[in-house]
Amino acid sequence: MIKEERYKKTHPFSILKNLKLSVLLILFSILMQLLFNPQGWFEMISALGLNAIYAIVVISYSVTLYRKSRYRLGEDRIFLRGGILFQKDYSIFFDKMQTIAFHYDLMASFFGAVKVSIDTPAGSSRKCDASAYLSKKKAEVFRQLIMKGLPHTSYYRSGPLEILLASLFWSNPASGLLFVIPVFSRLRSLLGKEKTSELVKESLNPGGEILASVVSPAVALVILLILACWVISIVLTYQRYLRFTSYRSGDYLVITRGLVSPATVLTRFNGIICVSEDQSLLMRIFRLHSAGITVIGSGKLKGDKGMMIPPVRKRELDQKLQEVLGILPREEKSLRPVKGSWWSYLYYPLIWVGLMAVYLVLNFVFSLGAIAEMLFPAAVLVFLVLLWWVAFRIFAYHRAHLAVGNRHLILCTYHKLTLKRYHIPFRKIARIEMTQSIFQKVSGKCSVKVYVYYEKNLVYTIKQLNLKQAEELLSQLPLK
Amino acid sequence: MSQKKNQSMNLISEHCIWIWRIRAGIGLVFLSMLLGGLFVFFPLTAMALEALLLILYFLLIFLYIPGYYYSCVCYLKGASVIVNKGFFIHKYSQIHFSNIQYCLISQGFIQKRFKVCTVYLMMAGSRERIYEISLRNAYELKQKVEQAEMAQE
Repeated sequence: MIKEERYKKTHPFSILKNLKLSVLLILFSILMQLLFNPQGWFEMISALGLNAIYAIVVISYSVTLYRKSRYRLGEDRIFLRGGILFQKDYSIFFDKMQTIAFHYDLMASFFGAVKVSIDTPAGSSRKCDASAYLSKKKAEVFRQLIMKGLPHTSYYRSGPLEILLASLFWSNPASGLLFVIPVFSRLRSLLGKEKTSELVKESLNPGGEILASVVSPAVALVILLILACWVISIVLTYQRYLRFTSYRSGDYLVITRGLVSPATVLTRFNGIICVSEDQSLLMRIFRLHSAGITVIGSGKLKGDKGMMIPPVRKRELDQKLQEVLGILPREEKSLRPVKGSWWSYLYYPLIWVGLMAVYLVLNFVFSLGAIAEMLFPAAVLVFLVLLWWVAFRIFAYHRAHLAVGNRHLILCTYHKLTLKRYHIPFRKIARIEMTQSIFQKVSGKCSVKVYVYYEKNLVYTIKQLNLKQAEELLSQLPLK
Repeated sequence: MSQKKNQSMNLISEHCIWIWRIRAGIGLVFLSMLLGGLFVFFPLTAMALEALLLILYFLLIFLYIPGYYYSCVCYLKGASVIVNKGFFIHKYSQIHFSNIQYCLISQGFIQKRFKVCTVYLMMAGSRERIYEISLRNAYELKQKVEQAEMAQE
């Protein structure tokens, strides 16, 4: 067994990170105040004493955890130890690592620390196999050990305009809201409820006054909030992907991105589960496509969309995919959904459109009351969104297909409101399933599901293909 | 393979019976404290539950734990590790070293006293736990897995 002294300590920033995790335990202090409500001097001193003991315990735990967390870099692996109650000891070979991420967070960078995360096929889909804070120098040594000083090739750098387009296409008010809510609650605890509400109203007032001439004040406020959250989401996505660069280095695909908190991700080429060409309806209007990769470890970095190439023209996308990943745009044989099966793609959004249309007509003709009148503009907005959904499904139906490439199975289908064209290497296909409902049995159609090797259950589906033609196409796959 | 031969090759330590009994004891103390709290409001119910708990505890330490230990066998066979375990539902696994991504050795404070540990064999999409394996056997197993990985390279 290697001596403990030869193991090195991680960066002291880990102590701050461990303390951050115990913030929830501050509830202890709050509960004590609520339940015991100290009044006299003696009680208050006792309460302070208990709080002090609690703080000492938490800080001691964090410091002990930091002291126990050790690592050692070998020639071909990394050795890791840690834990207080349950001490862990393991080593991971560099060849087993699928994804290695170096996160240069703002706070960590201030203290000279870098968070290194390692993912292997054995890992969980929720957290990494191993992560630790190292100094910048040590992190760089680790990176050089993995990449073995191989030269960089197929260099690609995206411009700020492409990233701005990507931010516009991928942002939504919900993700902006997820950022706003904790900021809002922290402001409330600092400034107080009334002051915070005043501040928010003042900032939204100018826009609200303009909108209030068209819609009711309540609806105007909701619209402004949605727009504000959307803008925040755009700004966050933009700074997250600015200075996006990708290149090949030996067996690795290296992606660096980010302005405020940059990150560098090293991914093994043989670990790429699939490459997807993405296109939303809005991108279709502007004739733009983007590409992303799915690998073991992807999606764990905050806000990570696995982007490989931001929105560009089709020709440029094909050229880059060929250069960086060796994917040829040519398809040898292609199979589309059976003619007339558009209903399967459209029935669900059409039901909602129908219901909303009935509501709008009834409201317009019969005037269903004051609340219904107040909600009418919002209902119109929702109706327009539903029509957009229908338009997207029509677009997805026209583009859906299954094809066999030279080294990949190509599956074009939709996921939420994005058309995705997946290139799945043959060796990454775990199994293929053809399913038939009762109606599909009668009409001779099927749905094809492709299962891939991944940390969790990951399946890509295309529906309403002709069963015999699908069987014939899939029998040509060189699967073992 | 006979049970005697299995036990002689078994990587699982004989101390595991005592370790599980200690854990059962800790669990009993903890649950008894909770029932003590319940006793203040529902004395008869708490007493009945405590009696049931004691019966379960004795069944656990004299019947289930020894039975589980004798059903658990873990040994090396060529370039694989065989794991046989289960009292009510028996499971048999044969894991080739080449399928193991890495080995994780974990040691709790009770295990430290008896110089045993838990080994996690991490594979793509799953993992296998081997409880109460002696430290020496654990590091030997880890070394064999790493040697197999290096031979593969």
